Amino acid sequence: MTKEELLVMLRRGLNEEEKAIPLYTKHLGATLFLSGFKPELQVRVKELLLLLKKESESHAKVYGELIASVKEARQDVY
Amino acid sequence: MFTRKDYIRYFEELAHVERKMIYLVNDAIAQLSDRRVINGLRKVAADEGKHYSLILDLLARQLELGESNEQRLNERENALGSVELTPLEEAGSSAGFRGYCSNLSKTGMCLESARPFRPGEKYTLNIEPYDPHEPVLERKGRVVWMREILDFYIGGIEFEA
Repeated sequence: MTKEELLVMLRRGLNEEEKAIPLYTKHLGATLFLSGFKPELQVRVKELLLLLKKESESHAKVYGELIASVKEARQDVY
Repeated sequence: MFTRKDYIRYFEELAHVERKMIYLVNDAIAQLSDRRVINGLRKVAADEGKHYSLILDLLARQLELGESNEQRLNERENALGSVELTPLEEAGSSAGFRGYCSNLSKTGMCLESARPFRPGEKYTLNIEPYDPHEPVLERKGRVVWMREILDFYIGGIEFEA
């Protein structure tokens, strides 16, 4: 894979992660969200959505760091 | 008020987002030879796979989709992979293309692609699971249904007996 192809892929990955984060959290603040679930399931779903958000933020950071290092490197083939 | 259908639609959308990220990162890993970049992306790929399993588990077990749906969802485990589709000459299908497998059974699979396809089209499918322990499969199949979700096309393929 060439440097440019890799950068395109990494930017796509970063973009997908950044688009996903608000999707995970968009209902969390709404009072009625999860109101139809049992309390223990509400907790489980909230924990899952917060885990997805946290790990997507971490992935966005990984993509960002890879983009920065690949851009700086003189290497042309990956 | 959120209905059960709203919850299912929401979590299906999340599952779709996770699958897209799994496809993206695994495609990249397959094309890379640089160990440092591969190792960075492997952790992301593992997390995305875990996210997808957690969402499927929630859909199947917690949202109580029913036994048949749960069974169908369970069949998806370790079934993600890439698919090369080559049109069968007799069917007059359009050009070949690349897609992704999100659900595989003995009788068929769920195909996802950025390119549209139509019911009735017939293809030879070369299915390469992301799980390295799973074998590459070649099947002939026909598109049974297709619908558009966000910016992807999703459809059912029935394998020839």
